[in-house]
Order: sequence, then structure tokens, then C-alpha cells
Amino acid sequence: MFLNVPYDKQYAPLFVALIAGLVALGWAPRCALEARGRARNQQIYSLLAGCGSSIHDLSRVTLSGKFQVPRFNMPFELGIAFALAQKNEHQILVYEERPRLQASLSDMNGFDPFIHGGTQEGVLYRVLDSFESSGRSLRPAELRSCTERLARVAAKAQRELGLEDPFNPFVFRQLVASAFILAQEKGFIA
Amino acid sequence: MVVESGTQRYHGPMAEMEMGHRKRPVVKHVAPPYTLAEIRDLLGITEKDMRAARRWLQSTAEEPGRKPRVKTAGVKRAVAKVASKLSD
Repeated sequence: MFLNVPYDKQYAPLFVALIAGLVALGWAPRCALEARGRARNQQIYSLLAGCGSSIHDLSRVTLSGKFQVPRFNMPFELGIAFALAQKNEHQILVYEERPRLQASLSDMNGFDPFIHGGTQEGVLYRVLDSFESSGRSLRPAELRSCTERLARVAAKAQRELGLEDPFNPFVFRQLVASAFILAQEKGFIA
Repeated sequence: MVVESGTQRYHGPMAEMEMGHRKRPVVKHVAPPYTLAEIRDLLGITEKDMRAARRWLQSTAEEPGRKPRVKTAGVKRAVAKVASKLSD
């Protein structure tokens, strides 16, 4: 499962919720943090091509930074996924904070995004709307408890490594590994 | 599992989309049946990473039964005042 999400401090709690929720449902989250070096777009393409599904959160497609330019990375990666889906089996899921896709990306008309409202709770509900566990059905409260625990891991890792957010390749790997251990401990995955 | 949701999701090539058909059944997807070892290989999570993750989890486990500190000085003062009045 490729995660095409914004790497900013405000999005960090939602990123943690996505990892916790997806891992609990048996998915292996991957993201552009794994892409290193110069040929970043090539690596992102390879990562996306290697995943059968992708989540594209367009909630932060806004003006940002000192130049106040639109953030093109998320729509760009959605475009790559769309192209891949023409040739291969690739499931695309678009997440948004509020229903504004027709205004921001009208080329995707006819495509209902999953609205999460910008909250961890909302993200967890949308994950449960999108996917089903291969084992027993999971309750939102179960995903919430995993998310809370993972958020503590993220906070501690950031503190110890002197980072402002969890968008770091090492922290991402640690979060995914922690989420797997938690999901196994709770019996969500084998 | 196929569910009726009243929404439409894109899944697969454009030609397969039924534009404007709001009652299209939505498939809730189930993760591929990976084993944990396969997932670790896929993501490059090493045994060292797993050990580190266990340490993070251990160090962030909630401390059981720690009660919040309650300030009692004001109550003690009030009790002492009442007691001294009663003894007068």
C-alpha cells in the first residue's frame, strides 16, 4: 500500500493513524520516504508500481512555503498511480479533509474521495470503510488504541532523535515495525 | 466482500468506470496474504529494526496505577482551623 501523503508537522498525527490502521488490517505501508538520492521520481514510480493499491491524501494541496506555491507532489503521484492503473491492477483511493475534489482536481470528477475531516478518528473510520480485515472484523476502538500507542512511539523517537516530525526514513521503518508488533500482540495479524 | 455504499470508487482502468452511477457496488479490499517475514523483506525491516521497535514500545508503555498528585495543603489548613475553633 503506497501512501501519498503530505509530509508536514500538522499531518503527522494522521500519518501515524494511517500506519496503525493499515498495518492492523494486514497492509504493508510504503511511501516516498523510502526513496533516496537523485532519481527520486524514478524511485517513487518503482515503489508505486510495486504496490497494488495507493492512498492519495489531497487534503494539503494548498499554497505553502516561502514562495507560497501549490503543493504538486500529491497530485503528481496520483497521476503516476492513475497511469499505472490503466495497464495494471492498481486500486486508487483518494482521501480528503473536506469535499473539494471537484474544485481542486476536476479531472477526477465521478470519483468520490474518502473524507476524513482532518482527524485521526476520521482517518481510522475511512481506513475501515476502505478495507476489510482478512481475520475478524476490527472495531474503531481497537485501531484507536493502536494509534495512541504508536503516537507515543513517534513522539519519543522524535524527541530522542531531535526531529520535529516523524517524516524520516528511520522513524517510518520503526513506526511500521512497532505497528506490526502491536498488531501481532493484539491478534489482528498472524 | 461487496458492499452497497451509494458512493463510487475508481478501481482499474477508466473504461471500467461507470460514470455517474452512484449505486455501484464497492469492493472493500483485503490485504494480500503476506506473512510477517515477507512484509519485513518488502520494507527492508531488519531484525535490528524489530529489536529497536520493541524497545520503543517497551519504553512508551503506560505506567500502571500512577495516581495524579492532589494538593491537600488548603484542606489541611481548613481542618486545623475548624479543629482549633472546636477546641476553644
